[in-house]
Amino acid sequence: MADDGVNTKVEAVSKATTETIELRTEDGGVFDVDKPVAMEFLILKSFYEDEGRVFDKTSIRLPNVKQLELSKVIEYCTRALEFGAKSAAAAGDKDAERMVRQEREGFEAEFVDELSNEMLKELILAVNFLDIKEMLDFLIRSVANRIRNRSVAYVRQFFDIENDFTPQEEDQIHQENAWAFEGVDAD
Amino acid sequence: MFRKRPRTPATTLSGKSDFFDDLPEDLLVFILCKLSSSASSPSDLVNVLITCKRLNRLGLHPLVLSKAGAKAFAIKAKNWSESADRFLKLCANAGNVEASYTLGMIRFYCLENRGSGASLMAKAAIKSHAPALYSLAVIQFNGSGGSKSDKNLQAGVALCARAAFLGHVDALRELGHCFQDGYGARQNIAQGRRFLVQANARELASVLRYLSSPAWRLLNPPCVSGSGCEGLLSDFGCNVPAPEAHPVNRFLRDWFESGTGGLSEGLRLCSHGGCGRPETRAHEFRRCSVCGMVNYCSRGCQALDWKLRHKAECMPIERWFDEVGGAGDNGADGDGGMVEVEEIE
Repeated sequence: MADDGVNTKVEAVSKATTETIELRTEDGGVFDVDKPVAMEFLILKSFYEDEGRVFDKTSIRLPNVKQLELSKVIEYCTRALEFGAKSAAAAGDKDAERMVRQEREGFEAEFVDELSNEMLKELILAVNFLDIKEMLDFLIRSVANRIRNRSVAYVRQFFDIENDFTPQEEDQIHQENAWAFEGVDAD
Repeated sequence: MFRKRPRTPATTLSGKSDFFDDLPEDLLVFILCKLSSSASSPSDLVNVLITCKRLNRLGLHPLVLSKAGAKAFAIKAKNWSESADRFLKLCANAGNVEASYTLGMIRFYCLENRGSGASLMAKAAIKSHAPALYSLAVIQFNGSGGSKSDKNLQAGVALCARAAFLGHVDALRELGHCFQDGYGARQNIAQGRRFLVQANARELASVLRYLSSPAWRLLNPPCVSGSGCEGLLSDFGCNVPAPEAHPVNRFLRDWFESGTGGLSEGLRLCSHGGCGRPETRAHEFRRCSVCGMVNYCSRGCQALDWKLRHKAECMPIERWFDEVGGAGDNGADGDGGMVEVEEIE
């Protein structure tokens, strides 16, 4: 994470003290992203750091990412950086730390509530491509939360899985695993 | 760590039907790991195994199995079967400590396979699993699975000490009493009292942590004093629920009480509801010397049960019992009214 990102209050449109990178998505969207936020995308970070490129303003094309996903990703990363700065400032003060944590949990809950299952899956693929560890962890947790204690049919529908068991195999599996079942949500 | 498989440009326009095939294996394994570690019941994880061959294979991946939490093994006693045993063994082999402990307890007490049970628990204990260390200590103190002469008090104290060092509250209490009574270790009353105080402090800390969590606030309005008080902290006017027992204790209790498993003639269960351990030979457990109606596998269970219920209902059945080992008062460390127990031959 860039050091200047922690000190400045990062806002999406500030041009005064932070540099921005232009990102172009697969479907023609163009985003001006602050450098600290963009550096969260490890794929970009390694692009700049490993190759020792000079940071210039040429725009970067992201072939596997669409507009909607990128805007969501930027939103999340920007807020995540803000929370990071706030909890660093609150370090040592238990109450303040707890408040920041609660605020963050509130934001994350709201963020993920708005996402449809489709959107969630698309985001995971995008974030995996951009290599953003923290957000990926968050999204994966959300998926796990969504499929926990749901019926088999729901999980199949969530992932768009085809049931490739033969009826006999399916029976066998049900029998083998009967011990685990009691009280599954009826979706 | 992430092997990024490039998304094939040949993805159909709808994008939906190819999604599952596109998803890289390591991401799926990650999702399943998160699912297993936060599972609140076995079906959370096992559901996934039934969906399709690919998820079945991935769900049984050692990494996923090794991360499963204790609640993923909270099997209902009446549902126990060969395949449940096999599944637990699979997880234990994948390195899951909770599975090792759970299967160890079940095999030792319910299936009466002492050797296998003990070795599974030892496997967990070596990895510093506090409940496993404590359970092994109880076995050593009582000489469970063997005869009275198989008791090894020093070994029990050593195991208890290790569990206590990891912060296990029951082990701390047990250790405190051992030091106070010179049981398995040289008597050191001050040290014993220190351990007992530490046990209370830890219990208080864990309860406070639980209380400050959003889940608790959501589920429970502030307790009214005097209602449903549990745990030794009731001494201090803290009316909070006792810490949650390990799911396997529930399993043991259900197993023996519901009759799924047979308890041999003359053998009793530990009278503490949250324990579930049975005797492995006649007169193994110690009884309350005041009323003689209840039995406990360990001091820890005795102390908890005294506060939870027995204090209210314990009554001497014959007068002359009063002269022998009457209620010992340990008011200083908050375990006031602790009753002596004696082992009957």
